[in-house]
Amino acid sequence: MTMLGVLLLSLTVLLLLAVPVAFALVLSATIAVVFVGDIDLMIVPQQVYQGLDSFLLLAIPLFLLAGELMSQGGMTDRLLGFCNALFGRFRGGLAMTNVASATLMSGISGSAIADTSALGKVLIPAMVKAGYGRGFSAALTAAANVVGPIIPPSITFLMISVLTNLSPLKLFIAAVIPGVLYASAIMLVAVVISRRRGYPAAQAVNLAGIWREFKLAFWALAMPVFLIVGIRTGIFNVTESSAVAVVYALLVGFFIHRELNMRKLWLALVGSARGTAVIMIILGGAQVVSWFLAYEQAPQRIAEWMLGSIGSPIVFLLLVNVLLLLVGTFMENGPSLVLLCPVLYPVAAKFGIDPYHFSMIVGINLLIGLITPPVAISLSIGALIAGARSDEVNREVLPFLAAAIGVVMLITFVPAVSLWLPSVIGGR
Amino acid sequence: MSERAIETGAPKGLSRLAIAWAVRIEKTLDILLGLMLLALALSLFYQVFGRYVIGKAPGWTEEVARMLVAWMAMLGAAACLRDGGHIAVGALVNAVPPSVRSWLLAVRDLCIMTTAAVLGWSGARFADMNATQDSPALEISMAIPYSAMGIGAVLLALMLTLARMGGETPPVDSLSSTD
Repeated sequence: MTMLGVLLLSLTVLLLLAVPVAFALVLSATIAVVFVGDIDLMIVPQQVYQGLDSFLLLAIPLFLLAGELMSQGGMTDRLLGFCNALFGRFRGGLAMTNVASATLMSGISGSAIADTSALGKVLIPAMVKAGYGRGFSAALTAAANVVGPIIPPSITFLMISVLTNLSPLKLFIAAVIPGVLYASAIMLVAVVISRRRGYPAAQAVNLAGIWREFKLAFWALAMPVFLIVGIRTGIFNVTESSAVAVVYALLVGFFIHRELNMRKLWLALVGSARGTAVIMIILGGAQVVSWFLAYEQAPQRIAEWMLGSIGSPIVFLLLVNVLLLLVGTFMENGPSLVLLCPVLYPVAAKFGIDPYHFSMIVGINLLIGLITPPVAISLSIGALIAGARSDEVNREVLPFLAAAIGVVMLITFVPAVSLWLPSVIGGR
Repeated sequence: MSERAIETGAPKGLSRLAIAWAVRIEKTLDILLGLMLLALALSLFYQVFGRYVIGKAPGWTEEVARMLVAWMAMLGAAACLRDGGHIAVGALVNAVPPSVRSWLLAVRDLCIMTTAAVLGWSGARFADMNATQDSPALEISMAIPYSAMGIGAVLLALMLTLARMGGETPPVDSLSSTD
């Protein structure tokens, strides 16, 4: 256990020194390996490569690229227009539009951060101009877009699939109802607050107008349906679907919406490639730590200790929720997953918890970390766009956070929320 | 975002030259990264296309794609370093006074250099050891994918050195993430 102490201590110190997470993982594992002695340091690059080398993970760069191309190719604007035609007429209509477009965008992109900035750049200024509070607009946009990586395609659930050998398709399907529940809860809170504060309603759009907006948004709306059907019928697998999504986005962007051009395509390629590097290098670093933990048989020991000291599955699930919420507040999803999955999944299995149900608890809990102050990337981006003070945004996010935690509790204690849909639609 | 370029009093001409080179290398890496992602998308799409149109899935597409991702990760890590693209925890360094902060960031950069040294040295040996082994589909030397770590680490160290020579301290950025 001393080696684990060396590892954790050096990791903590390196992280506090603001060493990038990826390098902190590599270096702390290296220090631990040196302490053990007689292990060739060649294990470090070998494990980094193993962390980068997976067929399933190929989907990450391509989903990032597809999402970027869809925004650049005008799909985001069209989805927004459609949602606003539906919801704009109600009190707090723009707030409802915000949540609805985040939910629809989530079927296209797998990233909360990208969605928060893409939708936020349009919606937050519009909300502020209509009379919504700056803090409220920022907090709502951040909270709404957490749904992005819950509803498929999802980078978070792809990572879980790689780490646990669960079926990516079944994880994706299991996440649909929790995602919709999450979005509904956020929308409900937004409406209640909007009514209480008397936020405005826009002019109603008639049926002909809604139909017109629907036709404009058709290619964006059809996209997730097309992908899910293609994967379900076995025409392509989850990884290949990401390449199909890129080609779809290119065709729609160039030939139907005619908003893409070579320059935008190139910027999207470079931006997504850099984004990929930032995520993948962390997975590579985390693999070295993960290997060392396994070498020291840490997962087994921690699992035994947990089984011995925690009496019931209910207590275990509650503890897991608290742990994940804390971890999610301070750490990124990728490294958290790589470190926690090998420890938590065996224990969950021993307690008889379904792994797909457990994955929903793990994934969504960590994602809520994106909007838990003090360290909350989504909130920071929202605040930046809105020009709001961070303490104001942190206060405004509290009701949304409460709703999010409520949804996680529902998911935790009602397994059917996660397991019913996969049992109906199935999945390999 | 935090402030860029803390002056350290390096000679003006040399520091400007260092930054010019850093920018040049970043631009080259960006071109490589963009092309690699394009190749990745095309090879995976060709995998689906090949299966249905030609009637058989080519064996090389998956292998090429996986090698490309490893190279993208390592080259991208070097390309993002100078403008703080990497995910880091800024809680402590952003809370202390500027003088302490610049000390802490100096220690941080030493740690990054050490990481690059470990990855560069053992990465080169790792690639060398596997040089005679061939990949299953393409039958090219495994040194080609494996040298990503060594070369990436060298570039990382180079970018950090150029930034420091140019009087820059890579900022601690808390706004980049891709969840």
